[in-house]
Amino acid sequence: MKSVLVANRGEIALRILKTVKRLGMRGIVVHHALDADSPAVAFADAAIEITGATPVAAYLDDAAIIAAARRAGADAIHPGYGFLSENAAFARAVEAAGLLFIGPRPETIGLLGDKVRARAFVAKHGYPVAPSAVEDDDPPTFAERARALGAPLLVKPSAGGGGKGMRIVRDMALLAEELERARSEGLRYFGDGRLYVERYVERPRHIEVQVLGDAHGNVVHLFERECSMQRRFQKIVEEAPSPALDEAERTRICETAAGIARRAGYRNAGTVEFIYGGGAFYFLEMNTRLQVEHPVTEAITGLDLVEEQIRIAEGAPLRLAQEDLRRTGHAIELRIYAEDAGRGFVPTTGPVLMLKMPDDVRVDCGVREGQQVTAAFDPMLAKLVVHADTRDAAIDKARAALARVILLGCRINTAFLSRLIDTAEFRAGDLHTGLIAELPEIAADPAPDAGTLRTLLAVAARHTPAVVEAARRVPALHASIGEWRN
Amino acid sequence: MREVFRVGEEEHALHPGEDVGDLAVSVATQGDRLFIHLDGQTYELDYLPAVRRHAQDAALSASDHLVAPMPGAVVACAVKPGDAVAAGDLLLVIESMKLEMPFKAWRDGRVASVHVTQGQTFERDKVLLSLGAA
Repeated sequence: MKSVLVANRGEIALRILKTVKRLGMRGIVVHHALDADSPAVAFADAAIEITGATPVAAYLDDAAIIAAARRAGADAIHPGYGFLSENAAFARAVEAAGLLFIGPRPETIGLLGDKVRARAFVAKHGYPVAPSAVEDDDPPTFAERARALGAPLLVKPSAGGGGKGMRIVRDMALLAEELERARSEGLRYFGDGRLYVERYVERPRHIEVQVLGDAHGNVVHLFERECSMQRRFQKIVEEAPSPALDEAERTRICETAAGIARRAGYRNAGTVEFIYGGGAFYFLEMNTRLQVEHPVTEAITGLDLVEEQIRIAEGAPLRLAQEDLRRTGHAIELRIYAEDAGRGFVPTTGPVLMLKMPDDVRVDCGVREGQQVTAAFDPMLAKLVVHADTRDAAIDKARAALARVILLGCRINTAFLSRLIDTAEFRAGDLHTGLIAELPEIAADPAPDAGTLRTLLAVAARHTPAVVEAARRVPALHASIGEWRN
Repeated sequence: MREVFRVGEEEHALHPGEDVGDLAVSVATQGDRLFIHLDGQTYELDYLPAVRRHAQDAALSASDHLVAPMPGAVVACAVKPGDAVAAGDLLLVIESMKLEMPFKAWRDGRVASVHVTQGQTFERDKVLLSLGAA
């Protein structure tokens, strides 16, 4: 492999290109016109513009992306996360074009990317899954079977991911209505309206395990990540190791994940996600790609997961056996989103007028000064990753780093993240996926106190031309007193 | 560069754009909007020129308009201008954050105008629909 095309954008495109270039290979990226000024395009050895009916559609145009890769002389395509990363047809088309797909084999994506097939596969091999009803098993009785599971229920699109179209139903009277809405969303986002329903575990933790498999049948796990800090079913803070697990449980959950991957003949990097509650864990789904939160695993293991992905795609055997893998310290990732935590985490837009990031922690950032944050793409702008000896030290380091993230022109969530990780619940490691919703008092930025307000007004006045000019226009003393003289 | 302001009894030293001492200030402006990063927090301030303040007072009642609470796209319009609606009737469905969100009539009335069409994307604060008297 001498040249890799990255079929993605934002922070992950830049992060992948960094490893590609560090390994002495040529890094190419595709981009929509809205991303022409992005750091990934600036960093790449070559950038190829792609178009689409919408900006997102450009990054989903598999034929155009493969054509770009061939034109640019790429040997391989890295799909990143989202977009085409878990699309078996794309992986197959990449291989048919004579290129390497940096990810699992198409048939593995097909098996594990379909939540329903994946659950059936996992259950068949004796691993734990939550009680569920699958529409496809017998569509006419689906609602009835869903009702029989009992509240609360979680409705999900079969083809879904990233929390899209998921709904919790606590009042069974609303079940039919919620099924319809989930179906409509599933059709729109995934072109597939099939649903499944599972028993919702109250106050669950989301714990996932990173796995690596090679083309020679070797599979290892790289320990777990806890990703229970979520809003709208999407993660915003992830950490490794999980504060919930003791060593025996850690071994059990990590070996379960490695076992599932081994049964699937898994090749490349993947993540097995579990719901954990009351001392039990259930298989949730497997993500057949690099995850957003992979840097916390890199921090505690010292590995570069993109480098491992590339080596595996080239056919090399894993460099480390399970017993050689060690973890050190505690790592936390904080996702920096263009959103307003005080208004229900709605996305925000605006120009990046000023951007300054701390330079003593890892920052994976997909925007730069002068760029516009638009509603066209996912609102995640950057990730901040800290690593320290203990969890408490990591939290302190994260808060210090968050305070030094300066992005002016578009509201971001850094102050909220700082309040979140300083709550008694987070400090105690007492986490569950509904915790953020239970802490409405920390959502909005507090109003500035009187001293801060005065400082703000002084700064504001200094930077407001109308105020500065009005001050200059104040007439000279003699002119203003007019006729009056002593 | 160091600027000192006295505000009331307090003196404030400002170091624009620098991280010096315990008071670090960064400022950016866009039109009449100011973004100020101070001690780890970012504040947005809007300068309100006198002309705009008076215009605000004279504006139509805000309760006649459905204003987009966030950027998004219109998935479906359930009504057209002239339609009579009752409180709770579906007006339109938008999509934002990969979720559908229905908007229902907040009072009885007649649809005065629909300012968006199906498929249209919009920014926050866009007036989507105006409701007239019943």
